[in-house]
Amino acid sequence: MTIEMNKNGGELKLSIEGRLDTTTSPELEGKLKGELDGVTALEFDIKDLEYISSAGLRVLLQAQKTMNKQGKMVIHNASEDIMEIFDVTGFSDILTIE
Amino acid sequence: MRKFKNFVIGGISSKIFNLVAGTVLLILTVYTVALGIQSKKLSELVKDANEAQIESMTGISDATMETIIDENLCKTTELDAEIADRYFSSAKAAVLMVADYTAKLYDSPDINHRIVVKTPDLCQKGTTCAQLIYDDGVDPTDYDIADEVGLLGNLADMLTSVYERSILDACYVSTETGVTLFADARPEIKVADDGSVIKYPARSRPWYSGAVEKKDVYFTDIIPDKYTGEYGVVVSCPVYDHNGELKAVVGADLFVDSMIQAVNESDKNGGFIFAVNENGHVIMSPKTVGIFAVHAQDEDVDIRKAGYSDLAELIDEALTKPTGIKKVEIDDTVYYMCGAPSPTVGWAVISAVDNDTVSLPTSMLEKNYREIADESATVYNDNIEKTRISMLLILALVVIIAVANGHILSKKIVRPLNVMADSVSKIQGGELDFVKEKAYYTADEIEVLADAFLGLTNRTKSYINEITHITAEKERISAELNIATQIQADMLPRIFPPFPERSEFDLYASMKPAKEVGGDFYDFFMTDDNHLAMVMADVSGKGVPAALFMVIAKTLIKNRAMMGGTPSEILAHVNNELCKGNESELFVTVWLAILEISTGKGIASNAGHEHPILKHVDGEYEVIKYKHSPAVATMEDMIYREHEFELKKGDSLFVYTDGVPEATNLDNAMFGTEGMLNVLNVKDEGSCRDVCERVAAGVEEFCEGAEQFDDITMMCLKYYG
Repeated sequence: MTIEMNKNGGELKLSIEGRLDTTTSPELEGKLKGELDGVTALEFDIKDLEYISSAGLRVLLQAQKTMNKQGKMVIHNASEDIMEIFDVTGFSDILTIE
Repeated sequence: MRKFKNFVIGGISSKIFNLVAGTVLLILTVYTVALGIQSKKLSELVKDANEAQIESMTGISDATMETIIDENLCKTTELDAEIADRYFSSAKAAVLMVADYTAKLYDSPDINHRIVVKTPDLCQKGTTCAQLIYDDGVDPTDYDIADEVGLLGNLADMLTSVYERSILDACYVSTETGVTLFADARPEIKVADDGSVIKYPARSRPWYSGAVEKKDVYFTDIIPDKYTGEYGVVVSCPVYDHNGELKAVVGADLFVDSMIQAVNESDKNGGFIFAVNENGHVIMSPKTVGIFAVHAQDEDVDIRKAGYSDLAELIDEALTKPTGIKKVEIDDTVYYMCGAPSPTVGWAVISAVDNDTVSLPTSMLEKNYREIADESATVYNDNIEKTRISMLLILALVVIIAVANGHILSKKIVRPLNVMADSVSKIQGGELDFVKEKAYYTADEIEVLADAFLGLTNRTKSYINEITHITAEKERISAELNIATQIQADMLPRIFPPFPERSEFDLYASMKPAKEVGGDFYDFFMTDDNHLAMVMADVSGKGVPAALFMVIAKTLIKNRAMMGGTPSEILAHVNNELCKGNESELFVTVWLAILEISTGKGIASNAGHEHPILKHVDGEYEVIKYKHSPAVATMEDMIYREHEFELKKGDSLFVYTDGVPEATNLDNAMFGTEGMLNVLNVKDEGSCRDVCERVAAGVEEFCEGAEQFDDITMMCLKYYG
């Protein structure tokens, strides 16, 4: 998994490639932990995300919870497979997917 | 490394030893070879120089000797020959004079007085006088004889005078008639003991016949005197009257005893003088045997025909002129010879020196030189040898010292290393106390190494303590986790069949936990006689937090479900309960269904869990997809969707966690929903237990021993109505 991070004032953009599972999720969690302070707009580009496990969903949920308090979080370019996961897990109800 | 006594072959000490010994040996070898070559060269040089010196010396010596011989021997010879010649020529002159006078007497017999000459007598002993002697058969009283004697008497004074004034030893005239007139100082020897006069057969003497035959002045060989027996040469000359008739022969004795003595005495120091006449007769020689021995007068021998061409040539030349020095070889002996003529008498005087004598000084010189050279060479060689031996001794000493030094040095260097090696071996054996012993205080790299070892062992000790501590702690945690895993597993209902009294349905469930304690769980329980609640859930994350969260979730779900209500009500309640103080942001996906056993109708609520799989009695297992609600404990006040379903008699329901489709093999491929369906859809599926076990076996087969990352949990329900 590779994570590309772009911070511009209150805007933080991340693009995630590969698999976001039990083993890779802590990396994303660690990256977000320090960066979310003062962020009002968080964007995820998951065009090249191949798979997301419950651990990865948890990280997204954490981020969503934080952003609910301080701004907005949007997920872009979810593929069909990923979208299915979001639907099945009910995350499409929680997350803002565009 | 092999060991020889205390010496490790191939060890550092042997390397140092080899280095030192090798270097010394190399130097020694080079030095010895150089020394050997140099001394050999020097010896050869000295030898060559000696030879050259000897050669030049002997050359010079030989040349000098030849010059000396040439100058001395030849000159002496020439002088001798000349002296002899003068001697003989003065005698010849005297004889010629007397002969001339005698001839005149005979030519004028009438004008001359007749003078009486006496026969010798003893009274005249020792006085010079003329004496008349007759031959046998001569009659003094015969007139003609008496008249001739009277005529000869005129010669008496002259003969006496010639004898006295010349070198002649006797002077005489003998007539054809047998009368001889002597002039000498030895009249007494011509008188016999009885007083009679000894007859003198002049006409049969060699000097007489020789002169008559030669008709000229004649020199005899050296012959003994008739009266004295002394050796001498007689010079004679025939006298003819005016008619050419032989009247008399004049003779003169030349005793050559002194000459012979001189010749005899010449035979010394390898040199000698000899004389040869024109017939090749050796007439004077100190030799008594061999080719140079004197030949008798009547002997028909010619030395020139003895087979020595060099000698013959020399003699021929010497009879006419001085020859200069010549080399003549006679029977393996080489002589240096030179000759000179005495033309008057027709002799050649020859001096000879044998080569040994000539080269004697040279050989003596060479011998002496060689002795001296040999002696100095011996001294030189002795010294060289001594030097060599002492050098070798010194070198041997150097070798011993070097070897000993190398040994001591290597020992000194290696000893602390050996001590250290022992200590390190002990460390390998588990004894971690490295003591800085006295041997390590070498103030070099070894001490540094020892210090490093000391630091290393101390650090290792503390690390080991730490690791031991940590390991113990880890062990403890691990043990506790195992207990937690066990507790978690024990919390799941594991007695099958769970409701043996109920024939309406069959139920089986299993959980195969991953290595690390996980968060999967299942549950089933009767909420009342007619309602069966089934739970399949998966807590996000792993480890103890997930396990604790699972326990709470499971308890809350069961408690709330037992209180009655629909699955959505139950999950909403549980969700709000779990969201309280959920700092670690854990959540749990839950499939919760409540089945009315009497009718087979059920209501399910899926909070983010996997799709359930359903098989109608005559159909196949199929994934039932519908929109799920978010997982429990994501956010407060969530509303959960509900999904109604109905089971017919013989229908089967299969629920599971993501551990089944996401089981991964070594190629990182996932078992997948397809894989799961393939395993499920078999002809005789058997009981619920069989279904679950077949799925578990299918997963195991697919994974081929790859490590199981997630809990594998499944539950199967068959409805019989």
